Amino acid sequence: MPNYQSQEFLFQRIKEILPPHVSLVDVVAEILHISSDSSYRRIRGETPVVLDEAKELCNHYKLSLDHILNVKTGSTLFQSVRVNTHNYNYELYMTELKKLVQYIGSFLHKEIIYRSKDMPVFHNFYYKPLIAFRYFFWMKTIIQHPDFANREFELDCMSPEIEKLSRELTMEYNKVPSTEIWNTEGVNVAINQIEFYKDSGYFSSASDIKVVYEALEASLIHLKNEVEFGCKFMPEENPQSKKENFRFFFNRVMLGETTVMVVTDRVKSVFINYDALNYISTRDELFCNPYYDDLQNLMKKSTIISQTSEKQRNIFFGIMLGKIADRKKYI
Amino acid sequence: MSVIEIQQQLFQAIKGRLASDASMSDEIAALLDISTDSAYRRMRGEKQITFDELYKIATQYRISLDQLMNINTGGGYVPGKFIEPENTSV
Repeated sequence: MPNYQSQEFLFQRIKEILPPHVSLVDVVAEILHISSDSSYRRIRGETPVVLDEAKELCNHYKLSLDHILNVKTGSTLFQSVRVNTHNYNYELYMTELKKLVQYIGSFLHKEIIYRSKDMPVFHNFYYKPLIAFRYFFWMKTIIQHPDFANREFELDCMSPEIEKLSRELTMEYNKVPSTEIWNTEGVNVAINQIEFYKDSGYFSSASDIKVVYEALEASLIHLKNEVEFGCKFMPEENPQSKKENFRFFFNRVMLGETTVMVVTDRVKSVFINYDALNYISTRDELFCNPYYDDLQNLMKKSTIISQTSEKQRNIFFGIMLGKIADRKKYI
Repeated sequence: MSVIEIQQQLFQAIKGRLASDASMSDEIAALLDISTDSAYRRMRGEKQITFDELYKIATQYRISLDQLMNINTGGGYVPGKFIEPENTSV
């Protein structure tokens, strides 16, 4: 490797993660407490970066030097995001997730590829009863928040702030071009959660169960409209005023765990969802690049039903809506 | 941790990876294309290694720079290997 090429990689990676309006020279100068001229000299490779400076920059941006320099240590670095009841509550989780989607949206070239075995979180936030149910389920059963331990589900269980935040998250997602790969089991998790609460006596009335099922049904019908138009929009919005930014694949073989790939300019990141809300993520190219190829391969083995294949689209959504209709008979 | 301490730890880590009959100064000199004397000065911490030299050493000996320099990436390492068709017996 010629002189200072490794330092070029370091600055290149920092530039890639900066929002487009932020100057690399300014941030490097600020973090290293040096002048803009000195910052320029390091970025151009005229002055070598010393180890202390590399460490400062990496610590500031939580960057892995091993990843930047492609040092093959045999390990992959994952960051973990886990909701809890004390220092990282649901509201903070949602706020951070919204910021993350906004950040992705700030890049010139961006794409989200969602390989999902449950409804992607963003599709739960179109209608109030489903927003309320999912929130209540996550708080009571997944996060096990003590305030929810002895409560039954009620449609007004969430604050207006949570409802607003949920919708705003979906609106941000709607702006980012995305591809979703589903199979007909995608609705099963939501149905199982409703059934579990019904059987456990956590609904205060049968009419609430019906209302939640109707909201799930309406969400799928809305999703079907989005798939048909090839763009994402809120129920009250006109799809014809939106950019085409949505591809939807029906996969009949297998999906595995819910995994999201984010591509921003030249950087790929993978988010692996676990335990409903929590996820681990990595930007390690040795992990992300082959996974990107895997997703392309998965798409080749799937049927695209957005804006095309009306019959396949009707069959796909018909199967899922049929599952909800079956359950509604036994409320 | 100072640069000198990082450097000392680096050479300590290399020592553990060398064959018992190998000379660290000779290997480092060959890898960095410098004289044996210059290699010694780096091993003794009299001369700071550059970022590029660090890269060459870390790659050659598979040393994690994050762990060596105690970089707070906020994450945890997951060791493992990918299943690759050419390495998978049927």
